[in-house]
Amino acid sequence: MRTILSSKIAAVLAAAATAVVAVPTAEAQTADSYKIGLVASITGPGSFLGDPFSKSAQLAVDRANAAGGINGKKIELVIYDTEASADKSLVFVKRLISDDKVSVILGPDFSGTVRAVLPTTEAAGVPVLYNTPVIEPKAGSFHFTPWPSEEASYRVALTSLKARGVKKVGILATTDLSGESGMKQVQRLAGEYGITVGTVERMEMQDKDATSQLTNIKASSPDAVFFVGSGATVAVACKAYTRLDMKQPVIISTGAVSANFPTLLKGIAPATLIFPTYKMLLVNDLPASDPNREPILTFLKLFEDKYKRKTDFYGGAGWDLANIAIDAMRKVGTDRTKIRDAIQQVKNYPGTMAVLTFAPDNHRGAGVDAQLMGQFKDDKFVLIK
Amino acid sequence: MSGARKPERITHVLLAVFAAAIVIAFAVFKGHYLISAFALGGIYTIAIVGLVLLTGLSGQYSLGHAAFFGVGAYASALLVGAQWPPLAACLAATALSTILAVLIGIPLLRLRGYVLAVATLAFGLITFSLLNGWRSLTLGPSGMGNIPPFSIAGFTFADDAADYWLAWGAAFFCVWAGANLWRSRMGQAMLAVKRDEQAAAALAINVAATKLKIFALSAAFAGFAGSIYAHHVHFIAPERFGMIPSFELLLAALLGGIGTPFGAILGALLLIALPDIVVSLRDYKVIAYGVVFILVSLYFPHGLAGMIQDVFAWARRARRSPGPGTSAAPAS
Amino acid sequence: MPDLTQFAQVVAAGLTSGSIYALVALGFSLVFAVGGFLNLAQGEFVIIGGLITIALFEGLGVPLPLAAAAAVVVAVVLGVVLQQLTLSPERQLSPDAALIVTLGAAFVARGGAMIMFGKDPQALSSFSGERPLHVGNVAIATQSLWIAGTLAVASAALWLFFKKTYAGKAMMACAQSPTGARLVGINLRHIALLSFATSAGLGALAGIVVAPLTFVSYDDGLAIAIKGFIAAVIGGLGSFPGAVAGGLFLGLAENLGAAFISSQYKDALAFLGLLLLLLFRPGGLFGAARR
Repeated sequence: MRTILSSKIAAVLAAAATAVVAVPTAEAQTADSYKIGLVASITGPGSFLGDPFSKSAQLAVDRANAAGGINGKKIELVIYDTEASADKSLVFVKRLISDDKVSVILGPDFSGTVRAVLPTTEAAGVPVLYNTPVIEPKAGSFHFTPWPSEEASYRVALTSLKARGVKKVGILATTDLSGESGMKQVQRLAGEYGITVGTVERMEMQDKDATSQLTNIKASSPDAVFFVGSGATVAVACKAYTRLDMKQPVIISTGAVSANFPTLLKGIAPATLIFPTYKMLLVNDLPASDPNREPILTFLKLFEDKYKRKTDFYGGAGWDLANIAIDAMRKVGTDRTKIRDAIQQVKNYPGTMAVLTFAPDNHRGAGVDAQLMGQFKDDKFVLIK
Repeated sequence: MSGARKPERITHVLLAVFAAAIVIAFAVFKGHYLISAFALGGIYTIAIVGLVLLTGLSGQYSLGHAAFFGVGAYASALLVGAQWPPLAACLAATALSTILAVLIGIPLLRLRGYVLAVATLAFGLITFSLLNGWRSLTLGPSGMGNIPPFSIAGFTFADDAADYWLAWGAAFFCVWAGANLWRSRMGQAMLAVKRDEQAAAALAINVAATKLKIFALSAAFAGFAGSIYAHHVHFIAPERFGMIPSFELLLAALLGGIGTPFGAILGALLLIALPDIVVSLRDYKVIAYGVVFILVSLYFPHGLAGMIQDVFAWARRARRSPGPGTSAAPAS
Repeated sequence: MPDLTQFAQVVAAGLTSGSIYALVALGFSLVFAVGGFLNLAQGEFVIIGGLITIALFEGLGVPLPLAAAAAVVVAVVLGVVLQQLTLSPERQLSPDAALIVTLGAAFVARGGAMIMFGKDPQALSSFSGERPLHVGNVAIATQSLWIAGTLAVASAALWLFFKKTYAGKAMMACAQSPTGARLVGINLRHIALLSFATSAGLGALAGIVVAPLTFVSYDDGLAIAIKGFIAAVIGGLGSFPGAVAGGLFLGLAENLGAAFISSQYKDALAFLGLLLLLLFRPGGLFGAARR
């Protein structure tokens, strides 16, 4: 009996020991290695955000390494896929901090994942450059975002609506956070522009039809309709809109307009489709003197050459943030606090997203002037002058 | 199973090994990020034990269990926000989950098989919609942050190491409770119900009450786990408690093995470990997940726990029949 | 008070999505009736149908009927491979195990689709152009008629198959009693293979006709499978009229709830309706669950 028992215990312990050995052990961080961490939703529901973000960051790191790295040493980009999960983001960020010992973290993207990791990164004093406008960065903290505030983009949108003489707007908003917070922005700010909010309808991100909701909006006869959400959901709404023969101008929230919009909307785009957006989508209409024009064209060419597809400002964000991180490390080395201080000193950086400026009391890289009004016309994005 | 004594000894051995593994793992990985991952594993173990009991003992499938997990998390977060001490909030959250399960179980448990499964799916999705839409209560999709850490009588579980002990201590208790239930008269009654409801009723087992009790218990475990989860991650959002998380919990239970509460530990560890292990595969990892599921269910139909049980049964048989010509006593 | 036009418009939308759910539910019920398990990879056949058609027609200029036929063939072949490798009757997998195997297959398909077709949603042009048909003031997408037509033809074909062909009658026999079927000499293995292949083909067809309306994304499969499963259960798992009825019921419930009660809670409302239905008719609308 005793021998059977001990053999069982031995077997289990042996299995446990094997598992322990198989687990990756922490690498020592030498003063020589430059490591950047990246967490993003590369697969799963947020892949339209995280996939271009990580690909662009990798492109930036590869380019810097090809040019000799930092002081001759290679930069390493450690990428983990969060699958838009807060739990996975937390574990991977902890892995980046204590195991991979990175100096700076790019991402995460979904606001739920950002909120889950910030307490940890702040406590550990690790600089984080995250990829969403929705979370307000705290002054003097370790986290930064390049994006202008949501409020800025909705103000640009409402200004444009007011200029068109819109007095009543209907809203179709997704039920996730981007739809929810965007809807609240419009409801809060519309009055300042002399606009009332009429019917508000919701749809799920993964819905494949918005006809039912739009019949209600149509019945209320607004002067314009606001689609708030992200991803292809808005394209689905546009389809139903056109079928119902609705004539009002459609305005779309910033995050919803992505690089493959033209493909999705071919032949079925509403007659007037406008949106606040960033210079990246409108690069062909930018004057030669625009400080972002060259960086955008350079980046787009590199991305399209390597990955054989178009990208948008989600890719641009990855490129800009990776380059800012690399520049900071080039200046001050691998110390995390010094890198944070260096990022706070970034002024008028001509990125692809906007001209980025940080300061100790301002951790948002871009302001309202980064937002332009665009229109989807003849299957192309054009600038509204 | 041959006789009541043998399973009892095995259970004690397994519990001892489990306890030893918890201690050893902590000693080995102290300071490593894996402690945080393991803490989550402990939390999931609690929820998955509930599912193992539900499916393994009474043969019911809950496709919406993350809803109970979420109710526990939100209730606990809201109550500590109202200045309740975390322990009291946790107990109240667990009770709330249980009551909710009883309320919906009374009508729903009249259903059977796949119909019941769809009903639990529907319940889960309704709960998710409410958590997401009832902004005035739950703050909606933006989620609730700044949830303070768990504390008992003045001791605060302030870091991952402390949460590790909290989670695995609770998990140990739940596995132990589950194992006791499995061997108890009620557990045997539930197994009888699972095998054949009509026969069980003929044996004067109150089928409906039995099914309701196990459903409520599984919800209690899930709610309890949800509460600890909220105080560990300090931030909760509705997307964490929807359909996919429910499926993940059930999948973990099935892959870990629903033949024994210890299967929940393996299932939870698989849930935590899998994304970490396949991380280097990048985009190919989705395919890797699929292959793992297929291989485990084809070759280990009783889950990982079943595989380990088979290994021991084989070892026991090998010991019992040392050579040809000896007729081995039948193993259990 | 909603007017008649709006009501009719919403009903049309409900019948359209309901028809897709019905096509997927038919595949579910077919596999369940013969094999006794749920095929969670059913939604992947839908996706494969759409993505391959798009890749061939939009990407390579292959004529649409050819592209669609090729897509159906690919889906059927993949279904056959999956079934032969992992799900054939002699393996005697428990329904639990079979379920997870199909889930694993769904992940493999999804991962494969992601790598082959990319992560962006894909668009397919409507078969008869984008201009909708107007019945009174109600706008019906011509694609909706294609979808309804496909459902009608598929249902009729299945009915004829079960009533008039040997293979179909054999399949019904297997559904009713596998042992009995074996006793009268029906080859269970062939029937199981045939049922799986047919449901793969049905799924792919559904994917091809719905792609112009909804775009196709590599990760849509699981959600479609769940909807199809729910629809099949509403109608009575294993019942073919039930699958159609269940699908239409689900589509209508979702859309009517969204338009006239609350679009915030439209999913919750549809599921509440589902729960009430199941409580009063536990066997589903047609109550013909197997075993």
